[in-house]
Amino acid sequence: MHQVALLSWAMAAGLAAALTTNPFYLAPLGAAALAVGSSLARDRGPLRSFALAAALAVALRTALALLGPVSRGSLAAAALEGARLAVVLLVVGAFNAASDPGALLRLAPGRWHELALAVSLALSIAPRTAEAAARVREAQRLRGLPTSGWRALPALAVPVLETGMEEAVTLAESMDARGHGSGPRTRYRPEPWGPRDALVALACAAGGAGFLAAELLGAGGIDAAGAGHVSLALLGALGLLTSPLWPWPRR
Amino acid sequence: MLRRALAALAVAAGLLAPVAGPASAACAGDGPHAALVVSHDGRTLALCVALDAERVTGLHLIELAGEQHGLDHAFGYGGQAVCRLDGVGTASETCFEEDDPFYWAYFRLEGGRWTYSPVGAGSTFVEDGDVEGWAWGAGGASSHPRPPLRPFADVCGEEGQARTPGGESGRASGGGSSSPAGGGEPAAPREPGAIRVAPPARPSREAVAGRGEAASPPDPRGPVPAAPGARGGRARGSGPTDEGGVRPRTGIRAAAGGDGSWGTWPAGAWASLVMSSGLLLLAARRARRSA
Repeated sequence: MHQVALLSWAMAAGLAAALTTNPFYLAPLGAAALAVGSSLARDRGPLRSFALAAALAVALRTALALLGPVSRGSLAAAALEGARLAVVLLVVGAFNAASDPGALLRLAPGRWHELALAVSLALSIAPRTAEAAARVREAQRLRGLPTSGWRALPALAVPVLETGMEEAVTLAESMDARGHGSGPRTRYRPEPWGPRDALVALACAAGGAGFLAAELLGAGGIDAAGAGHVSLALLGALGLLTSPLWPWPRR
Repeated sequence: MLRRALAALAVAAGLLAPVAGPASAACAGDGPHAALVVSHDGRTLALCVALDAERVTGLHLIELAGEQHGLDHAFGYGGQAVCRLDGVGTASETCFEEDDPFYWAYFRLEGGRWTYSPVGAGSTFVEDGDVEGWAWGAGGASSHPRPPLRPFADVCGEEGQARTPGGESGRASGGGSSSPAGGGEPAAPREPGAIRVAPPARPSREAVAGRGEAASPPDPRGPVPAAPGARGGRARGSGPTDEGGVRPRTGIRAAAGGDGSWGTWPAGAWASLVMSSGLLLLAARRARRSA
């Protein structure tokens, strides 16, 4: 799937999740995020860690409510706010798992390229650092050096930082060698924008707009106070947000 | 901006479709209504509230009463608890925290008797013809003072309108004084045949309902003579109400359009559950396949 279609899904689903605290909208939205993430994932890691963070968000938000005056209503309200945050996290996780940072970077218009490069480097730094740390720990253990405790920290941190520097220099050299930043860019293998991508982008835009309209009009039971109301129209909008999952004939 | 435009539209629609026929009382008009009885210190407000959906929560009924009759209210605990009604009670977020045994108890009229609601007003549903009661006092489910009994027909029927003129629609005079309610300025005209203006809040639903009704087939109840010249859904209220001021509930339910275009909780909730479980199953299958 084209990255723009994926991006429009993530933005629409994230918007819808951020707008509502109605559990009857949040549940399908969270399930949709999980389904999109698991069926389009290139890498399963982010989805899993974001799902963990989502569960943590609900638990933490509810636990925070226990500090104040407790009533069933206040607990429920807190849990629902946690659930909203959890669904937003799931959407971000699904997008993270399914998107290709390189392809996203290439989508940025020419004049924003530097900024996009910085962002994508920043985003990819955490997993690469974790990877480097794991490698260094492995090496230290093989040498019989202690790998736990704060005494072992300098011995771990120095090689990790060194690896990071080296990788940055390597990346810069490789970009230089490929003529980065000189003139218009061309693509060896252009990313195809097919009818499916157009359909997904349109459906997601419509679904997100539906939620925005419901919020602006205060209709459809979009707040938790109106949890009794579940509008079929908004459920239809949710259905549009599952468009990345719709079956599509392979070319 | 959009909101304001729609509100204006709804108000205009209400003005353009006056309730024709002198027989119809303002309250026994179209759409679902519920009665709200608020009592404290010997003062009782009995309000007939037009619902903006087939079912609303008990809390939303109070909000609607605030919009339609100027009923003073404040909610606490994240909008879940009723802290103040008609100027009585605190407006603080944690209204139960003061060591004051007095609170607003929530009753529902069931089988002609007040029942102390076991759940909060945020989790109950009010439908057409229901009566809800709020009483200020101390005590538990059995010992708390009850609001005075007011049947639905008494509050929302034509006779009730005529018999208790002042009690309705009085704006709370504040401070919980036990002065007669008639002193407050009426929030809405109560004379028979008065022009009803659509409640300005929640304009969209009003507008949608109005449109839906206008396009709906004739009332299946049958012999409802349409007012000559009156157009649109609002004219439906011009039909004669049954004797005793009790409106036939089924007829209003059956009127297509109504509020059905937005769905109500059973169908929507089930659809939501089916949708989420289906998506979860799909997610699990995809995850297993690629693992």
